[in-house]
Amino acid sequence: MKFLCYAIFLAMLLMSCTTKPPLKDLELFQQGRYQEFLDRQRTILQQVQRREDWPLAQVKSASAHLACQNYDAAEQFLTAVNSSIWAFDGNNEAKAFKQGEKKKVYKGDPFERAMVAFYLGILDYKSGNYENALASCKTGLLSDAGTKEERYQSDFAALYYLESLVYRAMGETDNAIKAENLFRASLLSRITLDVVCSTVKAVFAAMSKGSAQFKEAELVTATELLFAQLAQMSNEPSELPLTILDSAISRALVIAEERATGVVLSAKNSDFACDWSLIVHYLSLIKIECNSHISDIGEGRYAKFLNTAQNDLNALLNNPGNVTVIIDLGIGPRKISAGSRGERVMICQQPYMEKRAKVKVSGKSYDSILIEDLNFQATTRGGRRMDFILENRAVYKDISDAIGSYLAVTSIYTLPIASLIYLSSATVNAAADTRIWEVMPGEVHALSLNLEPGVYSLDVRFFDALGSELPKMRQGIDNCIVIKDRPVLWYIRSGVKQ
Amino acid sequence: MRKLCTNINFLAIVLVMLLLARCYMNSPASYSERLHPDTDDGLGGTGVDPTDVRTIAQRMARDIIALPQVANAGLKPRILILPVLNRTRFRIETDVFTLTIRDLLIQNASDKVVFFDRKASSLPSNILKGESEDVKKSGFTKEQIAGIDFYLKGEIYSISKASEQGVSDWIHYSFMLVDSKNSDIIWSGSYETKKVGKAGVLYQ
Repeated sequence: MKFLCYAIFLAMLLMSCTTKPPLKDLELFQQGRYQEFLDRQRTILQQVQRREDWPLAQVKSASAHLACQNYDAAEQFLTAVNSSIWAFDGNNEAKAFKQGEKKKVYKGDPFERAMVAFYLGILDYKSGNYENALASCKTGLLSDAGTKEERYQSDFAALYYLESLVYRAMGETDNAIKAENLFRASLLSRITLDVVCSTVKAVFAAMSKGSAQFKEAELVTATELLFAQLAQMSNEPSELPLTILDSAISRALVIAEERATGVVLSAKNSDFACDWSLIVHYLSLIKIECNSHISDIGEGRYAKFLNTAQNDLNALLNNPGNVTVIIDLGIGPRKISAGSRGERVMICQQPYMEKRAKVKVSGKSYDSILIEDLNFQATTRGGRRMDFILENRAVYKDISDAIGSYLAVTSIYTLPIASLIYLSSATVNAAADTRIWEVMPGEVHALSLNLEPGVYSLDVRFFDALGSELPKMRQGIDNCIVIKDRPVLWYIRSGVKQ
Repeated sequence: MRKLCTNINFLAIVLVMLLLARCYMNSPASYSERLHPDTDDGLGGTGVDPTDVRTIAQRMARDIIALPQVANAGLKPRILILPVLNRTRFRIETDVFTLTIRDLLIQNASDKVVFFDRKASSLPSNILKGESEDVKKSGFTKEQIAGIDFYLKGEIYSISKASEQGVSDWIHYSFMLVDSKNSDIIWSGSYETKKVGKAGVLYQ
């Protein structure tokens, strides 16, 4: 009997060692196991009780179909998502408001909605439906514009690029040039931001290095707040980085100070109260620290970056060809929850190796050029009204739990009241929605080619930041047809091919 | 005192049970229903609705039939309906407009007008794309245009605004009947809608 028990125990131990946990969706996608990935999304789409996740499953399915070059299936999913993210039906909203943000129907952040429009646009452009491609560009730009202080000006560069392609295909050269100028301005203005943001990151890293007194969540929130302000600054590429940084810190400080002093309830709640005062403190520190890093933000570095970017853009735009190759690289950002009740959302960049792509056609090799950085789009999304509500809910839960605990131990007579307070606290959900289109690309690249009509084979190779090739990702696409007098678009997604 | 305590506890338990029961109450179940095409489906959105298409088609058909060039024509005029140009931010299957207008006109005035089937014709693509003004430059033969008296053209434009609170779309539909011989506009009609979609706090 004793031996049998040992044997069962040993067998269970072995089973627990050998049973691997199921792969996450993202891992399946990265390994190129698209069919399994699609099966999982299909399962979600069959569950009525998960209706709020349907649009997310649909965009993820569209990503997989695009990667497999199943364009019709991708378009079906994207069209379905497009109608649901632009509906203002109010269905489920009251329930989601009460039960928790995760219960709301997924509609994505503005940059996710813009990406749906971008994909629909390239599919319409591919099929020669230019009017609808243009409509998608306009919708995507509108969804992105709505986030930045109500300005009717988006910074989603990839959509401006697509818009210019569409206008050229429609023979409207003037409009194409206008769209190209907006595309150029949108990307070049980021050079300023890139220089400033890298300095800010370096300063924060230096501040937090080896010091336990810096809280990571608050540092991240301070950085996000600052970056959101930076993104709202002028889009003029000629503006000097230091001027922008100074104004952005001042604006971020004003917001942080308002948040730190505005919530009276949180005064006695140590966790919440110190959050925003810490963020104010960090922003004040960075204002001082940045003055000692002037050389890092110096004009020489800025000019060098600007020059490289301008050369890249000239290569893409100055000689528009009849073939456009759109290449999606890497994996987009993810959201993680922070705060005592998971009430805050932090955007994190997911690591990926591929940073550049080279396309070889007819014996010639061409470098891809970055036209959109989704991580940039995600980190500059700005705050939401719901963030304030969730933070206040977290405060409410903290306070009611504290009162409940006090009443529960004070007397037997106060126990029922304590249980009621606990229950009321339990019915309030402060957790933020962390769902995101996790398999969207991290970067979108493009290149323009001039090819004679005929059938071509594409050889696409991917490289890491140091320029080393990633051989497992190499892709070959055959039977790419170029027709006379008709623009052509080819789409490629980086990833391991099974 | 003990009795009071028991009562409070009993009340608390009842309240807890009620709250739990409230949590498990079912939300309305899914269903489908048949609606009249002009009835609002309640699904929101600020784009083009079937109601808009039907209203526009009815107005256009009514106006065209009443035109003296159509009503008093000796021979039945032949009309070629060109594709509607969409310059809005909405992906639209614009054929739905032309088909609805054509059907309404045929139903109500088949004794007055005849329609040219552009899909079955061999007209050059630039004509079918609505660039009918330069008929002579287009290269299509006199025989081909000989039978067509009028072109019915349509364009849809929009001005859209967005903020974190929602979106607003003003859509302008414009249709015109063009004389194929001299490109004179003999009739034009328009229709406008303005729709606002307000996002709940969850989506702002």
